[in-house]
Amino acid sequence: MSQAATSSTATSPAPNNHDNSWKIGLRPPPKDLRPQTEDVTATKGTEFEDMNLRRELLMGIFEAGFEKPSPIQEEAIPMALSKRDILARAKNGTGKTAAFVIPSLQRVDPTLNKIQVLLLVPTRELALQTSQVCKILGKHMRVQVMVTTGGTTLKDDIMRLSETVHVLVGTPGRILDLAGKNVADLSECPVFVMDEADKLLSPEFAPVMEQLLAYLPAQRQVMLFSATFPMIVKDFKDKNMRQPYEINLMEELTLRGVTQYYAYVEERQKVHCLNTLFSKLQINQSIIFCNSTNRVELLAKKITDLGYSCFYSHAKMLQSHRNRVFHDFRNGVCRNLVCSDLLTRGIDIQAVNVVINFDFPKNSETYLHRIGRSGRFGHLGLAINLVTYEDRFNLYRIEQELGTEIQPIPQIIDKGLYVAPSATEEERQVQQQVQQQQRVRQQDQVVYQSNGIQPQGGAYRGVPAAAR
Amino acid sequence: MALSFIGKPISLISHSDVRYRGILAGIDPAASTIQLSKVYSMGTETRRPPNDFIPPVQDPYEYIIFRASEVKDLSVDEPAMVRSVHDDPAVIGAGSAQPQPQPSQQAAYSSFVGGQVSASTYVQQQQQAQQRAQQPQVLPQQQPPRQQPSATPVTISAGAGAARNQPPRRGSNNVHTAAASLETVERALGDLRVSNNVHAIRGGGGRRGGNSHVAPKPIHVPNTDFDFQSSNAKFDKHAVGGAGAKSAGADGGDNGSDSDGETNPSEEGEENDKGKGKVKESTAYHPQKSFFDELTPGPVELRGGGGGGRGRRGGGPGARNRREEERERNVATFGEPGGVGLMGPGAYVGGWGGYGRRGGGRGGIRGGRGRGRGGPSVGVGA
Repeated sequence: MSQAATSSTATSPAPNNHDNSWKIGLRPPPKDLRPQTEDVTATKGTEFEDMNLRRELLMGIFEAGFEKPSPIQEEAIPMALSKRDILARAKNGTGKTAAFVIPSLQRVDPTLNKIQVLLLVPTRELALQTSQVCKILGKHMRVQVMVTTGGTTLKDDIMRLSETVHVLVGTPGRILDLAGKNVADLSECPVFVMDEADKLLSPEFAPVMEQLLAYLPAQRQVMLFSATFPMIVKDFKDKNMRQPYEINLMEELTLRGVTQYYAYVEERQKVHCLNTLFSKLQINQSIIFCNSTNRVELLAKKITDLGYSCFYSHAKMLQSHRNRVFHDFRNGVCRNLVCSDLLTRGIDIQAVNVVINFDFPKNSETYLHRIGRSGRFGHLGLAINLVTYEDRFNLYRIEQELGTEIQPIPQIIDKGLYVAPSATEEERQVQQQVQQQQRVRQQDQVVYQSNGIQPQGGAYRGVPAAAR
Repeated sequence: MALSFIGKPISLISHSDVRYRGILAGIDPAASTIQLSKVYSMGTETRRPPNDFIPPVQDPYEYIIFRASEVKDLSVDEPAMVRSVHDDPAVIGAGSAQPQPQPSQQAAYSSFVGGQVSASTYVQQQQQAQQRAQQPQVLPQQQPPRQQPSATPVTISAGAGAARNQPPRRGSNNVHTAAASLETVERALGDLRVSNNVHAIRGGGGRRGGNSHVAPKPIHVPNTDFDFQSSNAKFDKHAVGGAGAKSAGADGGDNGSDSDGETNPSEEGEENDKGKGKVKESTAYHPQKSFFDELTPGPVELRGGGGGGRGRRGGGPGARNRREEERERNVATFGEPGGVGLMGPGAYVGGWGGYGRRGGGRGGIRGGRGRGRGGPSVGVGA
């Protein structure tokens, strides 16, 4: 449909992007009208059109439903285009992914058969998600995106790499493997991005990162993105980055849109408590965190026994199952997802409005990233923490470190705190759904729900919202 | 509720990891103490590394009072576990099973009392017990051990009322309020109902593989709503921060006294309107000063790629302890310990490859929870 536009501008970057003729024929998704916080709205007013981006890239951005750059995108994209090294810090779910994907894509020359961008992420699910964003934004660019992670056959990756790949997205171990075998040629890859950079520089990954960098050309741009930057990142910065430009958009650590509560429980009351939360809250989609894989399974089983449907995911599952859960949960097939810290970082599912820490996390970094799974892109969300007596020190410390107050859960939680206004109108309908959901009781497993009950979220669903 | 356990044989593990066996003689909610009689100190057994090992003590103490806040674990001993020579088929008959303190030992102890600076828990207990045995009326202030600087976290006093008069060892950092500590104990006792044979597992230290028999017992989920208000009222978040977090101090004072839990949320609700979450300065992040933060980092074993998880299982003894702790916690939360293979390695996602293997079909699964399929089958998927 837009073939003509694509070919006419393929060689001439950024003519007048402000005449809207190029938008003809593109179909952005329905607008997301939910209210947003200043975490994403406090911009200087730059437009994507002002950024000297290629028209084909702009088309992808427009078609993905992006309207204006978020603050981090506004800051990072021009700076990244200047080829400087970047350290960028912005809150969870405020548009970091697109902030590095857009400039990365802008720098790809689709006519050149080389890997030109390397995007590293710490988890497989995140790799899938990020590559999806690249594909959508680069849809009109004829850019070839490949995702590679552990848990898949190496052979397939090798075959794939014999064809053209411009953007390689993946987890460090597998990419190092491919580079070491000379299957992935990174010698002309000028862009090296680390998403969730602090995680990638944690002791388990750090040596791999250094080894990987050695495969890149000396003239390369290194960009690090995350919401948390502990001191360990500084070592890497001093050693491997050239006068990086620092972008820090975080005055405080926690998201404005996420209201945090705790419920004091005894260990044996947790399931009862969760059951009550399920019945009282207006959950659009929820993610429930446990502190171990065993507990993920036990809880998933229990939730199903209680008559609710849920998915679950953890590191000891087969990768194909993990992928499928992730895919289907994102598509709204099921309302609740029980998981371990595997999905703590980066996972962007816009329809999630409630995060429940069934087990309270032991450190503030994990806590921050977990609750950041709700309130995506400045929307409202709820984080509910089941806290036992044993958790009291962690609760205190996390509050102190994050500079946040976790309130005792009130008897009635104001829906305005976490339910989008449009959804409140549909409250009745939702309640009916909940009742229907109760009938899933018949099904005795953690079942793929197939009776047509879907979380509200169709409007946001198609968009890989991390891209925003 | 806990009172129903009085007279029952109890195993108690202190925060120093010393296990004591004795008869539960009483619980004093006011002083937040637990009293055991006919107490044997079993030492640290396998709970501590060898260099911290505290050996068991042969002779029983008449009774010991434990500070509830320093009690880590409690369990009811199965009757069979109470050792008696009569259980030994080799024994035809025996005299008094109650060993008496011997004079020579007393002499040895008094020399300790005289000049020893050693404040090891082990010695303290012995001294105290001996003194107790000799002169029950001794005043707590006169007991030498308490004047010694003690680095051990456990505070055990033998003799009535001793614990009551002791100053908290942790000074201002002592976060164990009396009520809360007692609650821990009562809860521990309450949990005993659920898994009464837990001791067999805990005490042994050698449990592994299939010989554990934690009876899976489904936890009960009441039909009524969970009462958040009254549950939260049992917990004073601000008590943890010692003098109360500076910023939280304002309403922290109120919280201490109000027990109905009504005023608390409404107060905080107002605060919430003003600043929604952000009410104080972070102690770990100062963006004006540094780009970097000092948040406690996440666990290293959270392997993002998820690869190689299997090979890592079965680390050192520490890992085993953590696993056992988790299994116990799982029983408390879910009524079963869980373990790899709960749903079968290929059956993680219902509907995708999981059905076929089970054979039993859907109908059977619900009723059949814990009948061998789940349970403590460690290592199925490994």
